[in-house]
Formats: sequence, structure tokens, C-alpha cells
Amino acid sequence: MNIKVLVFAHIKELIGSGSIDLELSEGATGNDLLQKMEASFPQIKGHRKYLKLSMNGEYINADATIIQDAEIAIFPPVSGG
Amino acid sequence: MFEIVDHEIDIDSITAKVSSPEAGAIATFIGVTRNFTGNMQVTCLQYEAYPSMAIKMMKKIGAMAEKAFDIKKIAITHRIGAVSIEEVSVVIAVSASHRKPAFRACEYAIDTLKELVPIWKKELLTNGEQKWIANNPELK
Repeated sequence: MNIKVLVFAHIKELIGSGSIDLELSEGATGNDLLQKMEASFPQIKGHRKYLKLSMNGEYINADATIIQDAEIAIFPPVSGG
Repeated sequence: MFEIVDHEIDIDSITAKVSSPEAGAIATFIGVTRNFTGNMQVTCLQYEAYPSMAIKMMKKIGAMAEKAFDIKKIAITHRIGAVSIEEVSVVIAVSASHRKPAFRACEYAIDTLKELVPIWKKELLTNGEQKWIANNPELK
């Protein structure tokens, strides 16, 4: 399945785009997605341990299953305020 | 009641949103840009948001505050883009019958915003450096 992933802040700068398309197999988890991202964008390696994941605007754990057509986002810890 | 804006925040308009005939108190939190971070001089802060999720999380904070404290209304506005020294980046206003729940809900809302709402700030320093702010010291 083709998944669109939004990225923000430091990660967006490292990748050079705010949105990327990834091909994932059915039943793939957040960990699979992160692994695929690292393979495509080695410059984000080393950031994984603190990256946050969201699906349809809610935080998810890396072991959650990615649902087709969901809005996925990956970003560093927030620092608003 | 919950919004992300890319322009100066009119504080009075936010407190007006939570006004209620039953409210005896309105507490506000106003976040502003300060000129120094440690010993480095700041030019401005640059904020970026994931707007749809940020609004969703702000609404969640509002609902949690209404459940946990005896308040009337709560409003949160966060600015994105460049925010210069002494300019306002975030306003939280809470109305309640009495001052204590208003103060407490206001503190709860800003503390939780800083944990949950997907907004990021980058410091632009006078020496030309730019630095994303995060809890993780490795993120520079």
C-alpha cells in the first residue's frame, strides 16, 4: 500500500520536504515505516529514538499497525508555548 | 475557541471569547519571546505547526480541563511563523465562577500544550545560528 507521510520541524529540514510517499506492505507497523524511512533517507538515522508518530491526528506507538489511507506524521518532540 | 494564527494575537479578543455572565474570574497565560536563551542572544523564535493535529490536541486539552476543573470556558490561540522579542506566541484564557479553578485550569492547559500539541520552535540567534528547541539535547 502507498502511504503518504507528513514530516515536520528538524526532520522536514533533514529530508528537504514536508511530505513523502512510501510503499509499505499490508499490516506494516510504525516500526516498519520508520525503517523504510531510514533506508530512503539515511540522514534521519540516529533520530529514531525520540521521533513521535501520529495517525489521523492521534499519537500512536511504533508497534501500531498502519492503516491504509490514514494520515501519518513523523516529528520530533514538540516545543510549542 | 482553539486556533493557530500566523499574525499578531489580539489578547483582548481571546479573553472576550471566554466571557460569561456566570464567570467571576478570567485567568490568562500569555507566552512571549524573551531575548536570551542561556547566554545566547535571540533575534526571534520561528514556530511551525501541524495545524490539524494541533487543533485536535488543543480541543482535547480544553475538554480535559473542563472535566477536571470547575470552569466555564477555555480558549487557546497559538501563533506560528516569526515571533519577535516581547511578542506573544500563545494565549490561554479560562473563565470560571471563582479564581482558583481558573488559575489551575490555565496552568494545566499550558503544561499539557507543551507536552502534546504538535508545534515546534526554532531559535534564531543574533550570531546567525538557528537551533530547533526540543527536550532531547541531541537534537541540534
